[in-house]
Amino acid sequence: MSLCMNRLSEERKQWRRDHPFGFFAKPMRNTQGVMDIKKWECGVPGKEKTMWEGGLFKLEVAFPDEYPTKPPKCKFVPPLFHPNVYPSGTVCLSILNEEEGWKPAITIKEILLGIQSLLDEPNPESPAQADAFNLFKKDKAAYEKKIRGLVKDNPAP
Amino acid sequence: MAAVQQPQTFPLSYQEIEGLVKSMYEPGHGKKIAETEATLSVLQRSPQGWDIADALLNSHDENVRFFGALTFTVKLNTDSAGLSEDDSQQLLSKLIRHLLANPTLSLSTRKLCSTLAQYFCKPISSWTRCIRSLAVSFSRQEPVLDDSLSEASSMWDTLSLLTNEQLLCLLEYGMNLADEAKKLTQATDRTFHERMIANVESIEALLQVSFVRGFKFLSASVDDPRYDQLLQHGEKICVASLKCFIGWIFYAQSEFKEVPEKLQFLRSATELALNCLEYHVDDAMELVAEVLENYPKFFEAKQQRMLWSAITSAWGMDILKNLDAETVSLARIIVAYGQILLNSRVLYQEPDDIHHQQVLSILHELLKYPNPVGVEDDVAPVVLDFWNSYISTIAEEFFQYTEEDAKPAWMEKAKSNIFLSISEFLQKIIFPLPVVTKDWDSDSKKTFKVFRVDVRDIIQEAYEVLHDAMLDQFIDFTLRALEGGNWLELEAGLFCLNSISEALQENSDVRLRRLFDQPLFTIMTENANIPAATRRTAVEMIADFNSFFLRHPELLPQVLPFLLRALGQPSLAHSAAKSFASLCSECRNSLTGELTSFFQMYEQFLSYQTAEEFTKSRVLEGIAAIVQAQDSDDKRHSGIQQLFQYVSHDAMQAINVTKEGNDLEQGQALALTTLKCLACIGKALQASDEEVIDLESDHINPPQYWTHGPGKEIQNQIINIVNYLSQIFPANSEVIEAACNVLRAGFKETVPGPFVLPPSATIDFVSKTNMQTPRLPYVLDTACCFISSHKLDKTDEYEVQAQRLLHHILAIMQELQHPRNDPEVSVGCIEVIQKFINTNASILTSQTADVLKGMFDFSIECLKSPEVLPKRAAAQLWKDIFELSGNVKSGDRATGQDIVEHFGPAVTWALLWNVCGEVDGTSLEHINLPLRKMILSDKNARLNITNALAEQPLIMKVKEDPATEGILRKFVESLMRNARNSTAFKETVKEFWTRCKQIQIQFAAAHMMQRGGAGQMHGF
Repeated sequence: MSLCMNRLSEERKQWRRDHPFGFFAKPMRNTQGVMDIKKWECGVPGKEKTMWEGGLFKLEVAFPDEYPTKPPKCKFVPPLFHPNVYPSGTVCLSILNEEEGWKPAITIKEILLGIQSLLDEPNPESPAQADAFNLFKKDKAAYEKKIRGLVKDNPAP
Repeated sequence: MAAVQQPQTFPLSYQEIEGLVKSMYEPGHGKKIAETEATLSVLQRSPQGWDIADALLNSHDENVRFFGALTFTVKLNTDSAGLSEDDSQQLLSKLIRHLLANPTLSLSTRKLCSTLAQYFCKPISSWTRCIRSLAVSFSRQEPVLDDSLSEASSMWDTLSLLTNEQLLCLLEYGMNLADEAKKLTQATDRTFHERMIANVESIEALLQVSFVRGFKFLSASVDDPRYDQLLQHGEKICVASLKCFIGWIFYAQSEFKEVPEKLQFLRSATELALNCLEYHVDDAMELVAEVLENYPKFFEAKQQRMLWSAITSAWGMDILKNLDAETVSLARIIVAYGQILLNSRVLYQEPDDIHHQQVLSILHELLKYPNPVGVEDDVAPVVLDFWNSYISTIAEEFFQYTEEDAKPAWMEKAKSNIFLSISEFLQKIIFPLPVVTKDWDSDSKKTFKVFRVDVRDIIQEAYEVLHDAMLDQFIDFTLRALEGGNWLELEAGLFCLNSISEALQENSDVRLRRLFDQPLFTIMTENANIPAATRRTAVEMIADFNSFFLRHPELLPQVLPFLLRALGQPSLAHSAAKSFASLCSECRNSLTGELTSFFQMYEQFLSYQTAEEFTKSRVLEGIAAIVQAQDSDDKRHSGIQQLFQYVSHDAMQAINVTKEGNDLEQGQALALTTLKCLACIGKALQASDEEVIDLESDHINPPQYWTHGPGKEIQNQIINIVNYLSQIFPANSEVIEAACNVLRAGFKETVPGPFVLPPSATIDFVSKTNMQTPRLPYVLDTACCFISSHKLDKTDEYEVQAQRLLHHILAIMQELQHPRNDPEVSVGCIEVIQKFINTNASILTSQTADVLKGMFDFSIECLKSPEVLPKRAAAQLWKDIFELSGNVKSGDRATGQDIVEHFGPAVTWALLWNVCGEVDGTSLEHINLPLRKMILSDKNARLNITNALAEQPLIMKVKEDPATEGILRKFVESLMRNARNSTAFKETVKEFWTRCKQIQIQFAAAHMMQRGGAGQMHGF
C-alpha cells in the first residue's frame, strides 16, 4: 500500500477509536457500494454556545495521491454561506494550504475541529465569497439570522 | 556556588521574604497577591535566588519550604548553566541535606524530590548513581555522593534499614526521575541516558524492598493493634512503588532499545506489581491497564498468564459481578489483554484454544449487564473498543479473499463471534423506559447517544462481513418487536436497519419486504402510545430508505399518511417535511393519480401548529413534484393554480398584516413563507433531466403555453408576488434572497415552463436594486445566472433586457466610484461583465467610449486594490478577455481585440504592479492567469511588459543598480519563453515576486534607519 493509503487507513482506525462528539467522517461509497478511501464524507457540528449550535454541515474531503505531503481538499456540499468558503464550497483555511499551515502530522480530527472553529470565527483577512463576507461586514444581525436559518435547514440528528 | 561568596545585598531581609510567602497563603490578601507574586518572582530570578531558596527551605513553615524548593527549580531552569563543577556539587549536597532534614513525604518534600530529579537531568550534573547515593545518604544522615559510595554496604541492606518515610521519598524521587528523563527522549547526546540507565539495578532493589514491605503491612493480622495504621502504610508504599515502577517502564520503552538486557531489572518487579491487584491497592488496575494498552510487550508470556489467572480467580469474578468502578478498571485490563491476543491474530486464528474461547466469552459477558449505558453501565463503552477492533480486524482479513476464494476455517467462527456481539449491542442500545430516562441529566443522555452512534459504526462494519445474515437478524428482531408491541425494542431494530441502509442494494429488497409488507407505518400512524423516540427513528428510516421506496412506490400509501401525522409533531415536523418532499419528488410518477388526496392532506396539515415556513415550503415542494409529473400542461396548470391559492393566501396576509395590522414582523415572516414556498414549488416543477422532450406534445402545446397562452396568468402571479413583496420589504435581506431564488428556479430549465419567465421579469427586479439593497452581491450573482441561462438566446427580447442589465451594472459601478467603497459589490459587477464577455461580448460594442472606459478603468482599479476578492475577480475577467481576443473560433474575437488594444498597456501595468511585490502570496496565482493569457494572445505583450516594468515605482527606485537591467531582461525573457508551460511560468513569476518582496523589506528597513540617521540600500 502507498504511503497515502496507509496513512488513511490509520486515520480511519484512529477516528473510530476516538472522535469528537457530533462529528462524523468516513470513506464514501460509489453507486455500486464500493468504498473509496481517498474520498471521505464528513460532518462538522456547530460549536456549542455559538449561533451555529444545533447544525451539522456536510463536507467532502478529497485526499490527493501525495497526501500527507499535500493537504486534502475540503469542500462543503452543498456550498456553505460563510465568508471563508469559496462559492464552490471549498474551505479556505490556513492549515489546509500547502504553502501556509499544512503539516503532514495534522490529522483529520484536527482538520475538522479547525473547520468547526472557523464556522463561528471567520477570518476577515482571507475572504473567499463576496456574498457572505459582505453581509458579515455590513449587517451582523442579518448575518446571524441567515446562519440560524442554515442551522435550521441542516439540523444535527 | 558563585552566589554564596557574594555579600548579601537584598532589598529585603529573609524574614520579610518569608513573610511575603506566608501572606500569599493567608486569607484577606486577595488584592495584593498579584503584587506579591511579582515581587517574589523578581527575587527568585535574582542572582541571590539560590540563597533565598536555601534560606526558605530551612523554615519550619511547610508553605515557605515549598516555595524554597520551587525557587531552586526556577534557578535550575534559568541559571544552572552558569554554575561551576564545584558549585554544582555543593548545590547537590545542599539539596540532599534539606531532604534528609525533612523526610516526611509532605508537599514541600515532594517538590524537593522533583527539584532533585530536575537537577539530575541538567547538563551541569555529573551525579550518576543517584538512587544509591540518596539511600546511603538517608542511612548515614549526611550527603554521600558518587565517589564515596564504594565503601557503603549493599543496596539491599541499606534499603531494608530505611524508615517507611525514607522509602517513600526514594520512590517519589525515582518516579520524578523517570518522568523528567522521559522528557529528554529527543536528546542526541546519550551520556545523560547512560547515567540514567546506570540506576536501574538500584531501582530493582528499591522496588523489591518496597513492594515486599508494603505487602507485609497489607497482610497484617486483624488482631494487630496497629492494624489500620499498618494497612495505611502498606497502601501508601505500594501505590508509590507502582507509580515509580510505571514511570520506569515507560522510560525503558523509549530508552532501553540499545540495552534490552537491562529490562530484566524492571521485569523482575512485575509479579509483585500484579500482586497489588489482589490486595486492592488504589489505582493498581489503572496502572496495569496503562502498561497493557501502551507497552504490551513489557509483560512476558508467563506474566500475562499470571494476570489472566488473577482475572479469572475469585477476586476477578467478584469484581465482575459487582458492576462498580473496579469493574470498569478490570474491564480495561481485559480489553487490553484481549487486544494483545487480537493483535497477534491467535485470538481468531486459533478459535479452538480453550484460553481464547474463555477470553472471548468474558468479553461477550461484559456486554450483558442489564443496566443502561449512560447511568450505571460504564463497562459496555469500554468493551465496545475491543469489539470495534475485533470487527475491523476480521473485516480486513475478510477482504483479503474474493467471493469465490475458499476461506480459512476460523473465519466462520470469527463471524459467529461478530454476530453474537452485534446481538448483544442491539440489546444495549434499546432506550430504557421513559420512567428511567426522565431523570437522566444531559451527560447521561450524551453518553448514551454517543454509545449508540459508536454501535451504529460497528454495525456498518460488521455488515461488510455478515451481510444478509445480519440483515435478517435485524428484520426478525424488528418484526418480533412490532408483533409484541415492544415499541422501544422496535426503535432499536429500526435504528440498526437505518445504520446499514446505505450499504443495501436492490438485491436486499426481498428481505426488506418481509418487514415493509407488514403494516408498520400504519400501526405507527394509528397507535397513539408509541413513544416519540420510535416515531423519530421511523421518520429517519423513511429518509434512509428513500431509494427502496422509490423502487416500491406501492408502499407509499402507508408511508405518506404516517409522515403527515408526524408533520403535526413539533419534534418530528422538520424531518418529516424533508422526507415528504424527497419521497414525493423521487416517486412523483407513481403518485400522479393521488393528487387530489395530496391537496386534502395539505389542507389538513395547514390546521397544525407546525405549519410554518420550512414545513409548508417542503410539503408544497413535494406536491408540486407530483403536479410536474402530470401528463399535460393543462393538468399541470390546474395543479399549479391550486398550489398558488395557498401561496397567494399567505402573500395577501403578509400585505394585510403589514399595512393594516401594522405587524411588520409577522408580515415579513409571511412574505418570506410565500417566497420560499414559491421557490420550492419552482424547484419541484423543473423538468427532470431524464425526461425526454417530446416534440409531438410541443406541437399540441406550443412553447408559448406559459408565456403567452393559458399559463401566462401563472407567470404573472409569480412576477407580481416577487415584485410586490420585495417592494414592501426592500430592506429585508431574507426577502431579497428568497425573491432571487424564485427567479433562479426557472434559470436551470431548458424547456418552457411556468417558472421560465420572460427576461424582463428578472431585469425589472434587478434594476430596482441599488447600493442600499441588502444581499446585493446575491442579486448580482442572480444576474450572472440569468446571463448564463440565456447564453444561446439570440432574440431581440433578450438583447433589450441584456442592455438594460448592463446599464444598471454600469450605474452601480459609477455610484461605487472605487472598488474600495464596497469590495464585494464590486466583485458582483465585475462578474456580470465577465459573464457578458463569455456569452455575448458584442453587447459592449453599442456602448460609448466613455462608458466603456469607465467600466474597464474600474476593473483595473480592482486589480490594483489591496482587497483580495475584487482583485481576483478582475484578474479572472482579464484572463477571459485575453482569451477571447486570441480565440479564432469566437465570433466575438474582434470585440476582445478592441478591448485589449485600448486597455492592454494599462492592464499590463496593473498586473506587473502586483508582481512587483504588491500582491499577497495566495493571490499571486490569480494574477498569473491573465498575465500568461496576455502573452499568449497579444502580439504587443513583450513591449507592454517591458514598458510597464520600467514604470513600476519599485523598479524605478533600483534602476541605478547595475544588476537591475539584466535581471529585468532575464525576467521578461523567461515570461515569454515559459508562457506555454504553466508550472514554469508560475515559478518564474514567483521568483521575481519574491525578489521584489525582499527589496520592499530592505527599503522599509532602510527608511526606518534613515529616520535614525544611517542606512544603505541594495538593489536586486
